[in-house]
Amino acid sequence: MRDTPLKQGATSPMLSWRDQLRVWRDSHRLFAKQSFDRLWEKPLATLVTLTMLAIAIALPTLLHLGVKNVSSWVSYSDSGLEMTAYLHMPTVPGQSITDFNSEGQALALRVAQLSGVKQVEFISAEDALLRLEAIAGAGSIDIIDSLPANPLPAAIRVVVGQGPELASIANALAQQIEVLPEVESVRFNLEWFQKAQAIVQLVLRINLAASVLLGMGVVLVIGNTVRVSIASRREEILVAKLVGATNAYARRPFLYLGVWLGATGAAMALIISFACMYALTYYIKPLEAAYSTNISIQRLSADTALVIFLASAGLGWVGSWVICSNQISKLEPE
Amino acid sequence: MIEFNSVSKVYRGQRALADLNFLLDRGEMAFLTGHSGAGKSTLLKLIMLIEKPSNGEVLIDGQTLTKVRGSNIAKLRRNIGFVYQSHHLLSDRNVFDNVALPLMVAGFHHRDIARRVRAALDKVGLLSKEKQNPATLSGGEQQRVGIARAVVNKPPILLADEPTGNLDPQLSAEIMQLLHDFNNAGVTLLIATHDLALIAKMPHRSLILRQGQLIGGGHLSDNAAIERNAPADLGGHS
Ligand SMILES: Nc1ncnc2c1ncn2[C@@H]1O[C@H](COP(=O)(O)OP(=O)(O)OP(=O)(O)O)[C@@H](O)[C@H]1O
Ligand SMILES: [Mg+2]
Repeated sequence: MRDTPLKQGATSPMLSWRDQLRVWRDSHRLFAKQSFDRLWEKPLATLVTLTMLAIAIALPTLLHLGVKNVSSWVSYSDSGLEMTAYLHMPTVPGQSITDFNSEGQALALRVAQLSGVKQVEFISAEDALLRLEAIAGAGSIDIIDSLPANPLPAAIRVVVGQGPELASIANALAQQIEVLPEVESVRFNLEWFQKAQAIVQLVLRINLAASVLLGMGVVLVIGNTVRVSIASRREEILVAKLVGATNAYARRPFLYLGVWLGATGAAMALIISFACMYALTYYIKPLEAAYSTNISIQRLSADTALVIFLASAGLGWVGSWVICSNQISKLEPE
Repeated sequence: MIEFNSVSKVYRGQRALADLNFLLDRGEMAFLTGHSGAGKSTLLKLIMLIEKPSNGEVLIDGQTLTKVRGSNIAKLRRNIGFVYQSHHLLSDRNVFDNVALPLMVAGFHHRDIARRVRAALDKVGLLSKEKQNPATLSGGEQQRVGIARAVVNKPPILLADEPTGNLDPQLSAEIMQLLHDFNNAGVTLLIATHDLALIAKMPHRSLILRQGQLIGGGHLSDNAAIERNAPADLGGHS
């Protein structure tokens, strides 16, 4: 069987592959624009749909932000249990601070070799003071400055990797570090970490379930909108098919419709999320002033925002495709 | 060009076409006539792959249509222009965009589209109305836009289902003349019509259907010239 049933070349264009690509791109551009314009032919219905989508996308986004902020306020890190090894104050007479710090760095590298250690960081006494100032806020600088010498010891921050036997590994590690001659004491709070971890895990799981459900909601809402749109453009699809449109061609404007809905819904959801974060900052300002402390607010990162945007557009495409794949091929001229 | 071999079509127990055999040569023009319900539209739909035959096979340019599937159906339709009685123009776009549709779906470059659309509109005498909405045109003009759309990508075959059904005799004659011009340019034409008076004025073969059976015109398919010179017992010429 031949691909083109008739010999005449007139009915199909004779184009170089470059021109074919250009035609393909132009037609996609046209469909994208047409679909977007059609969204606003019924502005009220579109706004209702978009609001539903925005809420469905904003909810898990805000929950994600909530977890991120609360975690950071209680300095819980998902990467593992934090352990702090405080070092003895420098005692060797005549030793410079630089020498002391480079010994500390070397010690940190040795600690990093111990089993169970995921990450180490040497915090010099000066760094520790700077951090305290940042946490304690502007009001405390005078008090700190009035001290004759830096009262803080240098320390090594050790992150113990997550695992099923975290408790025994952490205890063994603490013992190993504590016997090092440079180390004065080791502190960690296993019980608190495990509780925090359990709560964070639970919230994350709830958020995952909510995201899946709301994602399905997004697919369904977009699918339904696309179905209505196909029904109202029945005549156009039939005529296009009669003059030789393939199913793929007839599907295209509706796939764009789905993508536009997903993307616009996501954009609105991101605006809502940013607005919420802004409001939070606004309410936290007086708290910061009153306690003269810095509460750092974890914002939505650009990466996460991009993922949310692309995922929503993708869900729009999926929702539209599911509907198109059975509705468009069913529509045949009679 | 168009060949029917023992073609039957049954709609849920209702027989629309029975054992049809005929051949339409490349570049030939023929009428398809018969009473209402005789099966004219059904026959055209089989050629357009809108319906499938219950029995037998339809061939276009030697290719069996029952074997055409998927996107090849769409590609085959690009080779056949179709003019309807109710022109099926889209009212959400202007005349130009309506006529451009077959070129868009076939993937023509936009500068070729503009050129070909204007050429087609010029041929049907509606170049000045390209910006208008089809709903603002008269019946005859709408029909001509439909013809322009059917021929815009220069298909080798043109089918028409009662293209003059809604028009007065004067306009009908104009439309027929227009279709005839395309035939002169080499297009194979098959026109279903009730309008026997109009057929009688034109020197072309007529396929006559009665209750789904071909009762005239078919047997002369091998040589259309004989038909044109034969006595007018089958309504074949004036
Ligand atoms: N989709 C369908 N389902 C069932 N029966 C059909 C269908 N289409 C046509 N028929 C039947 O097939 C027969 C032929 O119909 P067709 O439309 O081909 O006739 P026609 O010659 O075009 O008539 P007209 O001149 O009125 O347009 C009729 O009896 C009709 O009722
Ligand atoms: Mg009919």
